[in-house]
Amino acid sequence: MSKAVVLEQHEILCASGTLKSASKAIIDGKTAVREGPCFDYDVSYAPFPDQTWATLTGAAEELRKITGFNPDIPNLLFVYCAAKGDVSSIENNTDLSGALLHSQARKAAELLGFKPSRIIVVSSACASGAIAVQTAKEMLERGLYTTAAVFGYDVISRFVVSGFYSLNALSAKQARPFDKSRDGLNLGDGAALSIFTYREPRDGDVIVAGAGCSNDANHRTGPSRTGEGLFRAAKAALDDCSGYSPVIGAVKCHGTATVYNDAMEAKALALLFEKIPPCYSLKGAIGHTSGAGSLMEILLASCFMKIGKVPPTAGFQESGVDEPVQVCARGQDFQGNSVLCLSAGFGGVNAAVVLREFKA
Amino acid sequence: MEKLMDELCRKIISTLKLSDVKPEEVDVDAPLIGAGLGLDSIDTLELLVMLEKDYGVTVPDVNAGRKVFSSLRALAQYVQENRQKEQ
Amino acid sequence: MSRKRMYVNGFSALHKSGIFTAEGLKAWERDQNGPADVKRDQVLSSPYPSFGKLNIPDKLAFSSGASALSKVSEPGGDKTGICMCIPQGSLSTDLFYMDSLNKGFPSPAYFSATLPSSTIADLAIYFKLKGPDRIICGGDAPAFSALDTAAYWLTKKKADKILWISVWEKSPINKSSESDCAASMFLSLEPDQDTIAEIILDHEPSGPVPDQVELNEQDLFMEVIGALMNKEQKIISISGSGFRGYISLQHK
Repeated sequence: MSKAVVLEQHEILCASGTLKSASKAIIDGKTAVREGPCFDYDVSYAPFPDQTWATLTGAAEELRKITGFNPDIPNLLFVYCAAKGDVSSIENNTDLSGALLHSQARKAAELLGFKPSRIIVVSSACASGAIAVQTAKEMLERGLYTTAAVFGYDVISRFVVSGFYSLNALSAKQARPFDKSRDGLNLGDGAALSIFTYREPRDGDVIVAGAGCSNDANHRTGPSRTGEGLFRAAKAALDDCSGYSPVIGAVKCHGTATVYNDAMEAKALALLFEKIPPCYSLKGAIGHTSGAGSLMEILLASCFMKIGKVPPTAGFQESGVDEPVQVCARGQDFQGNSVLCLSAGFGGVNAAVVLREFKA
Repeated sequence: MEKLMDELCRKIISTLKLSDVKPEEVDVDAPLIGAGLGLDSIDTLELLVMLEKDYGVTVPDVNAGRKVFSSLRALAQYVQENRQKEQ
Repeated sequence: MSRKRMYVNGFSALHKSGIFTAEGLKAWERDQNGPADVKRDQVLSSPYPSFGKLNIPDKLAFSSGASALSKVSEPGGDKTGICMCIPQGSLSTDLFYMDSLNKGFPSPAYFSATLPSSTIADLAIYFKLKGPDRIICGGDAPAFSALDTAAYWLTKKKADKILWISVWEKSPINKSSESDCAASMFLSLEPDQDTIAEIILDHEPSGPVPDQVELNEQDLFMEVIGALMNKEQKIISISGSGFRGYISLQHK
């Protein structure tokens, strides 16, 4: 039997709590998005329920406590992903070195108790998490390291809220992915930790079957109108799955609820599938948690696949895209063996990861 | 009006750092977005910030925005009208 | 050992001593203090109105990349990707944005550039580089990691061509530190009419190195660029936490 990149221990922190509480809340159709003000802006947002998580130290300690994993792992690769470093040092004009992702990564590894052989820091805006998973997968498949820990962390700040607000990207209300009344995204807090190994999978393991990315080469922040960039990233991820025969039971969309993203994503899905599988977006439930969010949503997608459900899309009521994207206000059963996870970010980056449940 | 158009033209060039563009070469009746100066959506948002900061002028919605940025002349007219109201 | 062979089809570097190109070193003009003062026509022959808008990290990345691609016959494509190292991230732009926010008028233009991935946007748009991207902002040997990723993707045919770029911006944290620098190489798996040199990259894992002295990747890679410009053979060994590697350059 051949080896695969297996998802081992993993955990998240988001507005709906940890993996267990968040997955239940999402399946029950609940939202953790609350109305503003958020840093004096009249926008809705999704903060951590426990604000001690809103520092890297607090989040790392909580994750370490909940997962109870043994960080003493030999030949470990540590991949850190985030859109931004510690912006509070920029806001308060204090030690700016904390703002560098580079130093955040080292601090994170230390707080989590790791002594990695190698650290790699990737940042591709809101696609960072998916890119980090792809990075870990490649390094493990090459036999360079035996275990990879992928960690992501991004929190709401005045810096980020004001910036997205200046781009008219935020909604005053709960985000409504793919809905005809959608008018923008909600920012959210997010932290996620996942450990991957390269070994023969056992029955019930979730493996990273494929990963791919691309660039729209269209606009600094807006996605290409045709969806062809995201289509190519998804196709690259599916092509990367050779030998795994994925049957896509659901698509975990990027679905930010901006007018342009969801329209583009729908076009990409129509290019990719003759019949688009059931789709969902988590942004109306737990907000848009930037770089960490991309990793967090992949871990939630794994969870939903194992539970056997396609979760509802909180905020969605009536389709506002031209293509037949099956987004549901209610959940449904998951039928298939794989989930396709999509994300996109500033700079025209698109990334896709395919998770497959392994059955012996 | 001519003076305001010239002033706005220079402000646009400096705000958006269009170092290759000379004010005297800008066609006052050409569209500002897309063709003409080739401004994109972020440039538009940046200009809205400049209008508010330097002239106390705001643009209420996307439709008004299209008219306002349809040319340098249209922009100057809008600034002149709304600036007076706010003073 | 995992040996990978690639071909260099274009290169450039913006360095305090000048612009390194296939035609030799172009000195800075008297009104230019270094790479951050680069002018559009020094790196790109066609007009590009957006050039003036670029913030420093974006300008360094764009200029170095554009200069490397200047003689390449077909730079763009669905399978032409970018592998970039940018340890400072967008910090200098973050400070400009913060300043605009503190003054009460947050700038959308600055904000849209406050992400490391936005530094590749202009290059990708201008040259239609639509393939996979990897942006490495730190960790151990980020420039080597970006080059290693390029080599891996080419070997696995995830991309046909990769633009490798490294941007070392003068630190806003320590203003008296090293000067700005940006280096690029345009790489392919197979040689073609643009090919200048062959590059072999070898890489093996090793254990963590305690108290590892930070590698000076800027100097190491400028040696590679210098060798490309002077048409010299060069072997560079690199060791860092978690790996040992070497880069061997052979001129065509």
